[in-house]
Amino acid sequence: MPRIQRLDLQGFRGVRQSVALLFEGRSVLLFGENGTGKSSFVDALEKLLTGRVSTLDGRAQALSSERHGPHIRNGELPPLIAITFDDVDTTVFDLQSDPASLPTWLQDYLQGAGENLYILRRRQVLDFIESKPRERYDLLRPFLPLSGIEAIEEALREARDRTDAEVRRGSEAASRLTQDLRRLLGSDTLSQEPTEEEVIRAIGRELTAVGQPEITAIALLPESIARLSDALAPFGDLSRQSELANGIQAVEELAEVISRTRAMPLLTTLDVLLKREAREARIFYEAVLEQGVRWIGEESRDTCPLCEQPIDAQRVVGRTQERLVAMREIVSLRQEGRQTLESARQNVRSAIEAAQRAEARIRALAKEESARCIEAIGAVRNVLEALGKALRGDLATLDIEALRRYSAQVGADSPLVEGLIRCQDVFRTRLSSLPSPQAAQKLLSLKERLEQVSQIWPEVSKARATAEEAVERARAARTIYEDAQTARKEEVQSLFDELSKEINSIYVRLHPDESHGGVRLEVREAVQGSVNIRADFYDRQSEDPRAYYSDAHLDTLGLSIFLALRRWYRKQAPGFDLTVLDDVLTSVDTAHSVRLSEILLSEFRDYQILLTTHDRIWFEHLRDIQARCGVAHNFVNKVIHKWTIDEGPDLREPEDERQAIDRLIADGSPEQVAVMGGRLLEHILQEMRYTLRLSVQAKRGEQYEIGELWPVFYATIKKDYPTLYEQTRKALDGLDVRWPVRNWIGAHWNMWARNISRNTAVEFSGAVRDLFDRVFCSSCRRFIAPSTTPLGQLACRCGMRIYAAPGKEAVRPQSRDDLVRATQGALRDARLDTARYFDWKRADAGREH
Amino acid sequence: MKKSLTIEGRILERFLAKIEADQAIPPEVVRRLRELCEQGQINAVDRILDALREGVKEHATNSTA
Repeated sequence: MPRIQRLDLQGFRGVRQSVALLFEGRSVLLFGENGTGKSSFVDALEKLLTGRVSTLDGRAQALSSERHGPHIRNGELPPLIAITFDDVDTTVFDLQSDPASLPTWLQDYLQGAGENLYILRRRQVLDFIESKPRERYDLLRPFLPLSGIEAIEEALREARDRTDAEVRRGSEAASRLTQDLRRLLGSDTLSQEPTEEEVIRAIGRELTAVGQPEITAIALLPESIARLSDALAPFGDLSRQSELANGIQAVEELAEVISRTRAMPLLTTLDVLLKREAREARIFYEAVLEQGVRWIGEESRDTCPLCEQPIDAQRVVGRTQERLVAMREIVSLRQEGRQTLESARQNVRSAIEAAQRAEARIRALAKEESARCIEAIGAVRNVLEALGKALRGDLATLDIEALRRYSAQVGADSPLVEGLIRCQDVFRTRLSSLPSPQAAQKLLSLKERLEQVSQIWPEVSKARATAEEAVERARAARTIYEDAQTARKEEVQSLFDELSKEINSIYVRLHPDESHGGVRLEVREAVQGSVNIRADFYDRQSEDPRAYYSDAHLDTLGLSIFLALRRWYRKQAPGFDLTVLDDVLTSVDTAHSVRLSEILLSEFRDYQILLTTHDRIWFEHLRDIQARCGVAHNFVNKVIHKWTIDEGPDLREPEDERQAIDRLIADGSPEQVAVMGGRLLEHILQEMRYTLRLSVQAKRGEQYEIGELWPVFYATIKKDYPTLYEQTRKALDGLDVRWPVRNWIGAHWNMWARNISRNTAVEFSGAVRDLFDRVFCSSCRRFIAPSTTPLGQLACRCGMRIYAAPGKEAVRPQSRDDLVRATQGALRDARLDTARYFDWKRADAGREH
Repeated sequence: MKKSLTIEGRILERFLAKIEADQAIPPEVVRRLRELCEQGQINAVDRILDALREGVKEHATNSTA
């Protein structure tokens, strides 16, 4: 898999001049003091690979990588960021590249790089832990491609809601028909949901009352009706009485149905809802949100931004909860409103149907007898239809005034309903004036009611069956939806369990023998798309780690989570191996950092890592750890020597400066020669200050001048390392006289210094070059440093350059292989890792006590 | 559970196993939902409602037969 060969940068963040960070297809350990441009390289990688810089984009409204990415002195020039890969074609990808024209492997690489799941900066270490459960889920979203499943869940949820609505509609239809049945057979004799047996018994009672035999099944009803017709035959033609009785009953039924159509319950609910919404909108949005935004704007004030009085946090929380309760009540009112609206629509539809039925029955009467009644029913129907129209649409668009008006027009005491009752009275008067014995009237009334029962009962049965089926469907739909949710949660939880295991394995190795761990990511049961983080702490199990963990432990937990997630993401994007850790290791104490580095360097050896640090000691530690973990050949170790606003980070290697001196001595000006000599001398002294532990007064940023370091360096070499002094005497003594040349010519401009000869400059730089050749090993590319044994010896890492301790033989530094050989194989399988070291330490401590 | 499936595939498998084991869901509905999954139609509300309607009806017929 191709890897990054180099990262070229110009005019971006802290880099003005063109500079290249050379990866050479390996990982990079980059050291630079704070403010020397390390993060510029990280920002550039992120910008090029993801299109954004997380320290700028989305951090604050006014910040963006488009505006603040280019170097502040870059003018209108666009920044240059380019990655060169180490494939056969040395493919270059820069800000202008068209992704479609890139080779397939690079497209895969860029696809993996699209989501920033591989860069961790120091200030982001705690992001995951400190996030709210929902934000935490969002951070994990790139690892959980669930859009397809979410679409299925959404469809199942809608199916559940729609089947629930079908249940409501079916139950209302059955209830309407049942009411009709109870009206025909007497509501006191039938229960709210009468069974077939109850209906048979009620019919039986009615038939017995007129001397007719009971029935044993509703299917036998036509026979009873026929018997009633036979019983009526001796009374002669009763058709007029029948028509009038029908008319009375139809109007009665219509009046009864109308009494159920009133929109008052709906209007009452709407009234309450609108008042609550208006009140809450005023209080909630104006008072809470506006003040809240101001408050947030002024950041964590403990006084009120309006009255400057101290804020009672509990009271604020209490008020907020009150508002939340009020908002929930509004939601409940809306739900109630929707149900009442649906019920009102059903009732109006029933009333219109009843009006049509009544009209049809009344038409059976003579025209002069029926005209007024039909007119009254027509007027009622018109109002009902208008009311039906007014009930269309949703709650928000209802015309409340129209509803109120139409509802009043069909109210109990309204002229329209009174008109119907007057028609009914007229029919009653006429019926009573007709010659008809009581018995005949009873028989006739029963026959007509039974005829209606014989029509309604099958409808009741059908409506009930439909409703039952709807209930069955809704139950199934609900269970299916719940099963889908549970399946997703369980599967996601099992993934989280795997991830938790990975996090734990890293975390526990960072904290061996410490009674905490048990880190677990949990899907929250009650909330969709929400993740809790839990961990054990001594006797406390499954707690929020923030409750008991120290800041350092939270830091290592944050790093463990990042590394586990990075490994997890690699499974999804195996073609993308870049991992960037920007100055994160020094946020934890040394022992934990060493362990973390060992895990990182040994277990992430198949990743291309960019690891930055601002700590020089830690940089050296990491170089040692590279060797210990056997990955030194995988790393390029780079140092940023200094940074200026115009030049940016200085990444030059000392060998480059050494070669430049040769070139300038041949054909450079005195100033050029002295400047380059001065640079190399600075470079040597910065290194030797660290390796020889030179005693100089500490300076902010660790940027020392030659004048501060040279006298201490010279004295130390003369006193403590005579072998080096003897072998380098000419250069050292020469420089002790000539080092100010660098300041005279190279660092500060002096008129008199212009008279300094070329020879003086050459002598100065030549001495620097000679010193460099003595203290730097071109084989292992390391400066010499004091050997552990024997004391007083100076040597490079590979032993090519050794200055023996006074009076002693030079001893080559031993490699790990040498050590293993020296133990005659006993140490062959041993790992010189930190865990073992700490075991030894503990054992030693135990023996001492 | 087959680990080779994608996470969405595994969730779907788990979901189907759950509804199959759930006594509250008629097997006739489960069969239809499984078919919808195979056809990639399990995210279509109307198809789900059809499956529920037909499945529950068939279940009622089978139960009374």
